[in-house]
Amino acid sequence: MFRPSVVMINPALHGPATNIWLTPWNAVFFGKAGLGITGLTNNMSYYVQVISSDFAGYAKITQLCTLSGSGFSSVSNYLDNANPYPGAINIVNTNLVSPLNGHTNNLINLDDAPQNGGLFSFSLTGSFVDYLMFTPNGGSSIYVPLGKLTWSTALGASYPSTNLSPNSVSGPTAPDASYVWPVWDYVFSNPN
Amino acid sequence: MKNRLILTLLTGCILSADALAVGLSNTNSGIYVAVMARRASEPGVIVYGDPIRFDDGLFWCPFCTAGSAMLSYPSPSYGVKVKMIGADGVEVPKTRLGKTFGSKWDRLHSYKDDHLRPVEAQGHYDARGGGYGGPFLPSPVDLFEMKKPGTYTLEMEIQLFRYTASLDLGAWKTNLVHLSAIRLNVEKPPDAKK
Repeated sequence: MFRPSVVMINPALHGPATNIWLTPWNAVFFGKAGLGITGLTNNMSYYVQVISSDFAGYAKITQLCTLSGSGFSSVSNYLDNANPYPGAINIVNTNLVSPLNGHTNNLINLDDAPQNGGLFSFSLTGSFVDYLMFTPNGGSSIYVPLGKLTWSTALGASYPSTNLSPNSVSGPTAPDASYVWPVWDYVFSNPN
Repeated sequence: MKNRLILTLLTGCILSADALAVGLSNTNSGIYVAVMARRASEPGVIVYGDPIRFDDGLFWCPFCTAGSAMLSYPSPSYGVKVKMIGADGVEVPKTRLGKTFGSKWDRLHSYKDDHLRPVEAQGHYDARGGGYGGPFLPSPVDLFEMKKPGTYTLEMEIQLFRYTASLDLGAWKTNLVHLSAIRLNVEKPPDAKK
């Protein structure tokens, strides 16, 4: 039986994912750091491509998150904001490149930049599981998993140090081909 | 006579292009977009040739007059303006969702204003297809109170940035690209249930 697959095309669209200071300690002793700058540089932003020679359809990324840190209640295995993760959905064509204009098809982007801040100290530990989901053409089909990938970050600082500690980033891993489904009971929503 | 024949042929070509289920923007800074439809009853199927239905999902795909270009696009409240005209020439009221589109249009100046997402403009638009994709938009009926059957005209403007890794806000302001004049005919059949 034919099963579409997913490959990593570009794991660092905005450069290597790196924890950076967003607001260095200021006059009221507030500081903030995050995984790069949203939409700009060093955040978690990658492209995967769905390969599906037999079926056209849709593909999306469902992201589950486990977060802990200062200033908020820990969450475990929550849906990250929405399903699909905002912006992480596209049409899947049976050809990977258009023969007419060279357009690369079936790319799905995930762009995230977790961050945290606080007075005198702050911390954030986040691990993320991104499920690559596919549904073939047809009105009654459901999304099924093609695989998943993971990434994580940990950061923190205490005044007056300007060193981030902890300071680690891993992933995104290459997509595996597992059949595991995303399951969650709660939704994590970014604070406004 | 020969000139009149050529003019007739040209007019025919233009009318044929208008009949496609796609709306093309103007070109600005070498960038333009095509707004296309996804058939609601057959997810993943791009609508070619047929009229766009009121309940079809929309999406837009960027193109480039030369090579390719990495772009950064905002959420619809900052980056997509919509307007709909009914068959009677009267503007159609927006839904609650429709009212959010373009509501922060004038506040987009740089990467700091919204969560920008990347998309690449590649090659030129070709009406024969070959596979397209891009950021999704809701269906027309989710954006407008399309109560009566008939043919509506959906007008859309999109603004986005040419991507730069620079922190310089001036560079982002310069890179803002405004794409206008996207028009789509949208049909609501008499037997529509919604």
